[in-house]
Amino acid sequence: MRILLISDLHYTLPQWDWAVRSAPRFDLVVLAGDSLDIASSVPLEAQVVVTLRYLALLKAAAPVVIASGNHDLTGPDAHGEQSALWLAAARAGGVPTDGDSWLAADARVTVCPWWDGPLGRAAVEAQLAADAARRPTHWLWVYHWPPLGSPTCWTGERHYGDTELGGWIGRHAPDFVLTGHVHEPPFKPTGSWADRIGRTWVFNAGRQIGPVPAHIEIDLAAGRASWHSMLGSEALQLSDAATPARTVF
Amino acid sequence: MDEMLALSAHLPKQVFEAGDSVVREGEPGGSIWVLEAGALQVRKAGVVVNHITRPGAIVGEVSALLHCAYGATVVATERSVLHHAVNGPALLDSHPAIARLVAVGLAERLNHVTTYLADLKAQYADVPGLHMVSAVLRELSERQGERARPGSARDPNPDY
Repeated sequence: MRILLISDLHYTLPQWDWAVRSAPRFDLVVLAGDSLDIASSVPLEAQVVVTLRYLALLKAAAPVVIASGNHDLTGPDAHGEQSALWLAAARAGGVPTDGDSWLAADARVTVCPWWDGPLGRAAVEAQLAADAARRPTHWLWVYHWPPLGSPTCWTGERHYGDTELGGWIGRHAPDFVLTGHVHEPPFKPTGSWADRIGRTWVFNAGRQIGPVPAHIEIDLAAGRASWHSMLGSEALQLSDAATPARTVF
Repeated sequence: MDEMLALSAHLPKQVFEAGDSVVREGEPGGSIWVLEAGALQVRKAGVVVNHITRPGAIVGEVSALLHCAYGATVVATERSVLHHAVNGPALLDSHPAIARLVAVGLAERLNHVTTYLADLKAQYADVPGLHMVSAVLRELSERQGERARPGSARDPNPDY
């Protein structure tokens, strides 16, 4: 299975175009959050319309899953916590999203929402526990924010990570956690696009300008992952015990 | 004489010297201006998007109709005279003829935009983001959903 991981498109339309064109080369496209951009001059309502159409185009080219990030929140859920309400339309269109699982022959992808309050956090915890009981050969999480302390959340000045994810990784030891949110780590010599925590690989492609998003390709059959950006490309073997030294600097 | 100019002749005049701002992007809206003479430049996010010189042209009508902040900055590029209605919505409510002209102007602009974009879609059919433009416009023009309430309590930093 070949997986394309991209995140933090932040309503960058040329990068969406690239994703649509690239999707046929993959067996799964993972969008790990911040598809929208709250700082854009385009209203979120309009961004949602465009993004849902891109999702439909992606889905026609390859299976796709999408998780929410903090920029994707459009209003309070039934409990008053901020939520990406619009992703219900993605689900209705056949794209697994927040709270869903995508299942292939030997892989399960657990799509975690951006949680924004105690009830949302508890729901993610329950979602992970439920999927832990039915994990196949490969268990992947899509979770927007990398774990605190990981080089995948290193901004160049500080670790800017999720305070809860590390504990959940320790408890469930998934094979992969596919993240985004922190844009700088792969572009800093002391940061990284990959981190091995126990048996778990954490990936964050970062964010770059231009028509091609920074992205990560994972080939489960070949046991290989590679990162591609304007800075260059790097690769690792999934059997590596630790992240290889950076080579693009 | 332009019909809008004739209908707004009763409104007080305001003079703007070159460089003066009529409205500023992001500031609270509500007022409507009608250009009597002069020239205006329209900037959005720092980018010049239009020049207005036609007597009878309207400024501020979108924010007055939507009760939102001004969506662009309008600056006089020469000495300009505009008629000013402090309460734009009240002007539209009390003068159906003015409201109709505002609607006609908006419809004309919408028609120009959609026609141009439909052609763009046809000519750039192999670019997904452009190919969808007319469908997106149609959907947006019919949309009547809830307004989005963005932002995260857990990480309100918009840089990430």
